[in-house]
Amino acid sequence: MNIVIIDYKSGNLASLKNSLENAALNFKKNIKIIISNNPEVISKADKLILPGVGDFLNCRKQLLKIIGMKETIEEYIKKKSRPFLGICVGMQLMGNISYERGKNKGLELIDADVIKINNEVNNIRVPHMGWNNIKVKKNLDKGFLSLDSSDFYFVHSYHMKCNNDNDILASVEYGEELVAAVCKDNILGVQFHPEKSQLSGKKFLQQFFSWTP
Amino acid sequence: MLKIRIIPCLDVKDGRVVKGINFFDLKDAGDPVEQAQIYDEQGADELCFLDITASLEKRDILLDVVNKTAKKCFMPLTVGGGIKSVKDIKTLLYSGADKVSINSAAIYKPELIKEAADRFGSQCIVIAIDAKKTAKKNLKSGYEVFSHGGTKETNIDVIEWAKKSVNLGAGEILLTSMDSDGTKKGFNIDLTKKVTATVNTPVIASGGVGELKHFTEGATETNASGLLAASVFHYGKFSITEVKRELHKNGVSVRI
Repeated sequence: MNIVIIDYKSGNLASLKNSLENAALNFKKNIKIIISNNPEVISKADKLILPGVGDFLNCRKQLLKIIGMKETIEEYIKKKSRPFLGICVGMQLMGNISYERGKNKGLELIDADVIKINNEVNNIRVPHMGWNNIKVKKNLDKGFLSLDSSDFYFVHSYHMKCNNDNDILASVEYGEELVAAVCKDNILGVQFHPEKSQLSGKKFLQQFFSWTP
Repeated sequence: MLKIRIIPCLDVKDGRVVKGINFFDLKDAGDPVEQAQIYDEQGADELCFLDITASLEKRDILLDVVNKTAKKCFMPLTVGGGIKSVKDIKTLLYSGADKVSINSAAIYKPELIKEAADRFGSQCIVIAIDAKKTAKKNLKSGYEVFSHGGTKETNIDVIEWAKKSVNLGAGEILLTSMDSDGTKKGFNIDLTKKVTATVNTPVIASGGVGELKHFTEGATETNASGLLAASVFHYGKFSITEVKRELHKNGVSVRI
């Protein structure tokens, strides 16, 4: 099984690769982790991961700068058979519009807007940084359900506001209920960083390995 | 609910772990990668490396340490010490650091904070402040910022500096009380409270832990998002597991 991480110069991808390789140890299937910016390699992936750190606008610019990337991702997703995972800004990029540094269009894969975390509430500090437990909202399968109330590592100042509750896979409490994970057909997105979430992160990645949408 | 973070810090010199009393008088002991793994197993919420290597030619050793640690520990890693430019930050982030903590360079060149936050995002820019009690009348909070590893007065008020760094784009403040550091008498509650009341980013309290109860004090008497300690963990006075058990017992929300 080939898992491809999309390389669009958004930070260090080594930790993500390391953690995927660590999660793949002792896994029944032979898993190969590839970092690539080549649309041809990406279109042949068995599972595709869109990472993202920093801010939405920079990530968007960098991603769309690669010729054929947008079309390749859209084509991959349209087939609906193979899983796609967006992490942090990689998830936010799937929305319609982000309000970080102006107003910028996303890939419009999930009906959602990306807005700033409301910090006018008592002791809500931004970024939302640290370990917080998620609440699984959707009964996709037992694997995802088993992650209910696990702690994951979050670091973000903006959050995804879904227009369709049915797209929300998990939520997290931070002053208000924020989206922690989304799922629609073969698309999965997480606001937290599984690659930085020790054991619960490993469990999540293994769940992603075995997930068949 | 967001948990309070327990953060062990490793002072690293020429690729080896050291920890001093009151910033001076360093003792040598340990391999940082091995130490990091121990903390990882104990359930540390984050790891911090403070590089105190003086010579420039030996600074690459740290990159190797960061790289090796990131391969083995799947938790956030903050690296600080001697960071002077956007290039230094980039090198560290690409070696596997998730956040960088900047101290002296930001004091003398505050625009570095903005430049770095615009380029890499506020989430990875930590401003480390070494604070010391002062009687200087112009410093209203009663605390002065010190630079260069706590050796130089700056005549800057800690509260003003914290506010300014956040306005420029810092995503977190790592606040060390120089008066408490190494004393084992507990966190500086007054200082921590003053800073958390000023900024709305996370603030990490550091300096002074000697007993388990100091963690509870730090967690319950201030709004700190994280508590950092070095020697108590490094010399095995107690483990991170014990700290978390103690906090949990006292009703503080921790990740177990």
